[in-house]
Amino acid sequence: MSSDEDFSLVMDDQKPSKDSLQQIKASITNYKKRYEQLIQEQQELVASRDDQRNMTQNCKQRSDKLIQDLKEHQRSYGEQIETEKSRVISMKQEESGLMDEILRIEEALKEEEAKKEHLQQQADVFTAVPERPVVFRGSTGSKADTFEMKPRVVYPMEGGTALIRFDEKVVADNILDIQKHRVALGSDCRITVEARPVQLMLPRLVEIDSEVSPQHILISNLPRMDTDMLLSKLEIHFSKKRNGGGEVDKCELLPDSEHVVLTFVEKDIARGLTEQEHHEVELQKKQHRVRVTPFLNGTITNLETKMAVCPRTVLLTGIPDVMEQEVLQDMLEIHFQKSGNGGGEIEEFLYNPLGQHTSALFEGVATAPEE
Amino acid sequence: MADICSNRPVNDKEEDGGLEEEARETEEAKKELETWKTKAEKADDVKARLILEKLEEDEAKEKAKQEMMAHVKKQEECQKEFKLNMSTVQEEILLLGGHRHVLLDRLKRCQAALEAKRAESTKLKQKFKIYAQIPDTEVEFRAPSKEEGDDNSQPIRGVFAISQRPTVLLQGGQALITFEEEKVASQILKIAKCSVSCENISLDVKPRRITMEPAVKFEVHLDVSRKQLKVSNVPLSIPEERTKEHLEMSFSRPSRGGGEVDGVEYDRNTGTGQITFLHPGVAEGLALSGRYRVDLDSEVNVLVGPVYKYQLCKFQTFCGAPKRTVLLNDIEDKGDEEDLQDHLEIHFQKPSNFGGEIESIQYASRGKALQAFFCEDSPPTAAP
Repeated sequence: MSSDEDFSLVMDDQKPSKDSLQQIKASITNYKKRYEQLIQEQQELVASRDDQRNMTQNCKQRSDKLIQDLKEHQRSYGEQIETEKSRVISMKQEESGLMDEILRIEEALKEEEAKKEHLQQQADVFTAVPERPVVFRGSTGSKADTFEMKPRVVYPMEGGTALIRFDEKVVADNILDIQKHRVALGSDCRITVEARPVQLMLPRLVEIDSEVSPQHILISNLPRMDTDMLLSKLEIHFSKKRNGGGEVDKCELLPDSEHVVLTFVEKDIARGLTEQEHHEVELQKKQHRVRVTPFLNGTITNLETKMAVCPRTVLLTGIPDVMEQEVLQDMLEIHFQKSGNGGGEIEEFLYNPLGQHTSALFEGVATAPEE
Repeated sequence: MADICSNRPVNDKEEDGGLEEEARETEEAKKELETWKTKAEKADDVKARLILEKLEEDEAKEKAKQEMMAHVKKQEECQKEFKLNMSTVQEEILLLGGHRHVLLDRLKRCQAALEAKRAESTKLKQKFKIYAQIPDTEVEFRAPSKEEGDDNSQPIRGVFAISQRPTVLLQGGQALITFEEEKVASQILKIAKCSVSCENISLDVKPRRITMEPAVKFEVHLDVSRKQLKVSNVPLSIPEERTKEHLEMSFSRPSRGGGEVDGVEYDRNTGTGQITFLHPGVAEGLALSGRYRVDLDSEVNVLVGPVYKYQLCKFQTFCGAPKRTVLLNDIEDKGDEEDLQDHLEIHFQKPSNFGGEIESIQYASRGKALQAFFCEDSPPTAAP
């Protein structure tokens, strides 16, 4: 028990009791005063202590909040960074993907360039195709008229049939309408024949792929000479290894041109030969300079056909073998010439009796003449 | 604390009565003093205790404050680190974004180049493809065939010589002119511009050499069987062997147009087959009708058609060279089409204009386009 107040109380024990009361009273007062002061100080201290306590509380609360916040922030920051990092990853992946794609395309481009080069080389052959002199004579039309066809059909006839070509289509139509015809052969003989149209299969659409053939060469600049001789000489020349040739499969003259197509058995001969445009070949007992170029060969990729009816031709069937061929033919012709029988002028008549074999030739009819 | 002696000598006898009172007061006062002394002491104790408490609180507060500051600092550091990391990552993103842009650009260009190249290849490939649509052609019986002794099994043999007419697309403002003589055509081609008088004005026309696309010529050999018939759409109802039998029976019936059957082929997987008749002629008739009634387990209609083979022969590619025909270009559209054509003809007929005898002329006015067909030019015959 000590007091840090300067206010120390020392009582004088030797003081007479007379003063004592006063002194005591004075002491009391002092103590009272002191007490009150102390109380005051206490209060101040309490206040101060509580203040500090509050502040501590505050700080602790704020600390707690800060801890919370920090956690939250760290989490959030972590997330955000992760998000951005995964963006980076995906962008890197995308980049790698793009580079792969580019490489692929560049490869494909190289391939395509090579293909194109190859095609271009082949296409260059078109510049070397043989020329034909052509002329414009006033003929115009649409693109549909670009192709022309000359048909030639060999039609084996059945026994007991005949072919009639009338001058006029109406007559043919009429004969076909009537269908069954009773033909009088002499006074006591009658036969019945049936008239039918003739339908032939014609090409309607031809699709062809052409390409430079590794087996063929086209030979031009040839002199006028006997065809067989020419073909033999060419075949002999180009079958010899020392001339750059090889085994020849076929050698033929192209129709209405003065060019020859030579087919080799192997596929590696033609290319070497065409690298040199001109070759010296012995023809007509001297060296002749012929031109050797690549040959474009075609293959049919699609063929569409149609059945075409002959407009003025009629087939008669069921003709019995009752008479001599020539006589029967005459009788039939006479019958079908008469308008009374539904017939008309006949341009061509062919009878194939039973048991015999005859073939008929069908050809195209020239439509609009060129000149 | 001084002990207050409560024993004091009593000096004043005269004041006994008063002294007694005083003594009592003094006692009371002493008691009070004690009380207050105690109170003060206690209060002092309390104060001391409070001082300690306050000091403790001071310490606690300082500590709490320090901790709090530490947390604040941590927060700041955390934020700083975050900002730094973030900016690093975002820089990388920006960089990658730049790369991406460049790469996308490059990719686009590559793709475009590839497509362009492919288009070129396709265009080139087209040069090798021929699409020949044959216009309607009339065929008639001509004469007996001189071909050698045919037996029964010969097919109908067709040889179709197909040729492509060399053509030039004559567009508006162009004309084609064919001279009788090649040398006249060559002469005209040497002139850059010809002034043709038309009514009272002068037209400048430009002669040009004609370049033509390659054309083809070939033969299609088409053989149609007279004894065989293609059958399709055969339903898969009964076993294969029995189907063949039924087909044979059905196709033998003359009442339906059939005839004696020599052989039957049938493929169950495709539902197709082939009937070979003994005699020619039957197949032809049936093929034309397109269908035939067959008895399988019920009566059904099957599809029938001809059997044929084809071959490409004598294929040749050539390029038309117009030696006597010249193209006239850039003809202004003035006046009547026919009149203009006439004036052109008149001009180019005159030797004074380096022209000559004209075989053919065709003019196309603006807005028109004509397909002009060329034909093979026979070599010039010696002058009679």
